[in-house]
Amino acid sequence: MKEQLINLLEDIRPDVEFEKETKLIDDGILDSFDIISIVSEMNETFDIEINVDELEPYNFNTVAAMLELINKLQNAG
Amino acid sequence: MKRIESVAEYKELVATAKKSGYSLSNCFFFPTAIQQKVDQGILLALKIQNGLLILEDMVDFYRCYYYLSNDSLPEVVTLDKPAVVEFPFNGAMTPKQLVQVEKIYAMGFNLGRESSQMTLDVQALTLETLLPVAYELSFAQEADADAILEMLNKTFDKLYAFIPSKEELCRILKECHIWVLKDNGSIAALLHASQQKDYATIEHLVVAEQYRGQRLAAYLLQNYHNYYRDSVRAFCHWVDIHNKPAVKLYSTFGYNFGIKKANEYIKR
Repeated sequence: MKEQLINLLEDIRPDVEFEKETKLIDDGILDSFDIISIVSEMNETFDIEINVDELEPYNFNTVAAMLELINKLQNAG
Repeated sequence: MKRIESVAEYKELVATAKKSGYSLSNCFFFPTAIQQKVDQGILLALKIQNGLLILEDMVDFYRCYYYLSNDSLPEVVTLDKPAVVEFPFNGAMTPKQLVQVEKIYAMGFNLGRESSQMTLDVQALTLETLLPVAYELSFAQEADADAILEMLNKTFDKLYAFIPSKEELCRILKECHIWVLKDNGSIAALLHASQQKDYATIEHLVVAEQYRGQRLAAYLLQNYHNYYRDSVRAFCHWVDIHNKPAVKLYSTFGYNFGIKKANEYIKR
């Protein structure tokens, strides 16, 4: 799943070294257009539905946080 | 249509929409972004049949976000100014994305612009001598702001392109690079570039109508490549895939289409 997520992220922002970054949102590395793309693709790829309450920077600042969110939503579904 | 007054109200609207089964969405704001837009008074909500629209008031048009029913079509919406839905996707659209597009059409939007990223690795760049041009190349200064804005407004449709305010442009002139080619003081062509991490990108490339056909865009592109080639890994630009001169220009320099695409659906 991690590889799939990183591929998805790199397709959207090939310039970012996702595994090294720890503040993707807080440092403004990802902009609002990236977020739309990333959330849409995460919903599609992992068959989840990210809700408004989950749209918090801490869920998207790192690859690990995004994986945790995906796991949580898949298990809840 | 109702102005959204707080983040709590926004969340309540979205929660109600979700409860109604409106699960198809392109509306993914973080709370800070919602708060910012609420403070600016630019976030509006419009309840429609089988959906909820969140509209961002961009003065001349609305940027449109939605929560729509997966099962039923929304109604045709009537707005007091043009609106645009930005729809990014990778490669070909998935069946789910195609369902969303069907619903965007049902609201009365039509396909406006189809964009794709074109990229070029620095390693694939061949160093060429700059083409000779008869005009003076320099970095734009604050005194050029009005002329730049006039060119951008003449060339681009606000629905599709980022056209900064004068204040934003003056900030951009301090932080980024806008090269201009001047003919006796008036701007014949400009290239606005920026760098994100180790990628360089072009925000605007414009040649004034009376100066077209003189390869000024190619000259500015060469200059831009030479400027960034030692500090980036690649060049990466959004291009309207139907803008044949632009696609031809980038292809000549070795750019290829990437998988990242975006459609803009518009309602006039």
